[in-house]
Amino acid sequence: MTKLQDLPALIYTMLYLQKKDGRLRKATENKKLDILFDFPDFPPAALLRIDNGSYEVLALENSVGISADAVIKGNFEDVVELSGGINKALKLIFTRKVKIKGPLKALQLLKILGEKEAF
Amino acid sequence: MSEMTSYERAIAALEHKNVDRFPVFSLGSDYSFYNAFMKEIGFTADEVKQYSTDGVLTGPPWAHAINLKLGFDADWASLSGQQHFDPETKQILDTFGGINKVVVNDDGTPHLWYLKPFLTSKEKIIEWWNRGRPKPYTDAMIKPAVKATHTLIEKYQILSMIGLPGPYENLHMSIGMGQVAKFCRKEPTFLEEILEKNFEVQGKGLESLMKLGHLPVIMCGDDWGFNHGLQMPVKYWRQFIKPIIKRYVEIVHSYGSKFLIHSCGNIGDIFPDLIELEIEGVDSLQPTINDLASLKQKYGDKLALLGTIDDTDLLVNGSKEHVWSEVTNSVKVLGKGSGYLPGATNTLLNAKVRNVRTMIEAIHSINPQYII
Repeated sequence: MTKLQDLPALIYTMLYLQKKDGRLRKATENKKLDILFDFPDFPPAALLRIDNGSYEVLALENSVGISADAVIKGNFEDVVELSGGINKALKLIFTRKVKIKGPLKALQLLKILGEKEAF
Repeated sequence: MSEMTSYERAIAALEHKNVDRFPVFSLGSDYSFYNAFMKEIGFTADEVKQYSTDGVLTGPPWAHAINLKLGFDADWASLSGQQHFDPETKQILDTFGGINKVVVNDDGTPHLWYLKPFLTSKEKIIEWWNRGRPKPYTDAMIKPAVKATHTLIEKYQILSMIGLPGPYENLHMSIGMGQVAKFCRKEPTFLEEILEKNFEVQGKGLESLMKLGHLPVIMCGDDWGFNHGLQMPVKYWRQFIKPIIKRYVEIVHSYGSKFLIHSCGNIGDIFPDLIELEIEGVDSLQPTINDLASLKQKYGDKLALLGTIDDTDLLVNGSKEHVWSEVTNSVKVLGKGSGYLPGATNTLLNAKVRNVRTMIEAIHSINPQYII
């Protein structure tokens, strides 16, 4: 049976190993962070909720009115080609193809993904 | 014989030279095996920090780190190509035109799988090309894999290999086996054109990999076999696939490196071709569908054999005694004359962790001097 698929599954997979090996706990001790990934061309939206070492991802058919610390919005068609590296990612942001509300909070996710230590 | 490092052991085996013990090879593992590994063994906080700092927490779910901890001598990871998205069907596509799917099962385990071909007609194939696809590998994709491989070789002293998907997999996964069969018979020139377009990307990717990495061994994955023989008639394999493989091999050999092929299934019919192409080794070789003793006897002095330990039943359902017995019997037959890197015949999926450990212990327990 499938619990999540497509975008929510991708977001879930991104943090799966960090959770398992203890790095998520180290990076998010006593921290809460909600990030909404909203790509209208690839529904449903995904709400990532990190809370003190654990996380969940909710699939949202309708993201209107959802409150989050950061919102990343754009076309998935642009985002999926990010294998071009960091320059491509920055270009998407500067050209407003990807919009980020709450950029400092969104940067926290990058910090979490880069955590090297585990409990 | 003095003790060798895992790297020295694996290279010596590929060169059919004496080894202090047989090197064990891992093709990788998926999330299910990762979960089982974490439950039964896991990493300490210090290991996580070290592997993370060294950049080897990469590959399919940390397979390199798992391989290091379990004591494998050689391992492999395939380089992923560019990804695209089709807004109309809302599907994620690889750059050659295969549809991929990401799901999370009810038990919370993620799975990333190839689903089906996207380029289901000649018109779709041509439209794909008109959109500038397939797209090349970028340095940003190659460099981290190269760095991790160098660290695995230099610091951890195991033989880590990178590979690119081969021409046949890219072909049938993007256009489907029905079209492959049709084009072989009715439109061979168009089939060659598809293979050439794909090779433009693969060949350049391989060149970049070799230039950036100077890697000692490359292994390409290109499943050619069914249980009872090749998926396409041998004459078509020779007409369409073999010439492309030859170009892969020539690129790798031009850098002084070795070229290995991974192919599941029964591929004994083309072993003479693999030798003619000067491929140094072949991986998978499921013991239940290949006459391995015969292949070893006929070709074992020219072609190193990798894999050969059944991953579908033995490592899943076997008792410790059964695993030990089967593995040691294999090594005694196939290890003669070196040229042998045993390991599971595919990516570890639902294999039992204890059986994988038993396999490694059994392989390492045999003194090659008594059988070579």
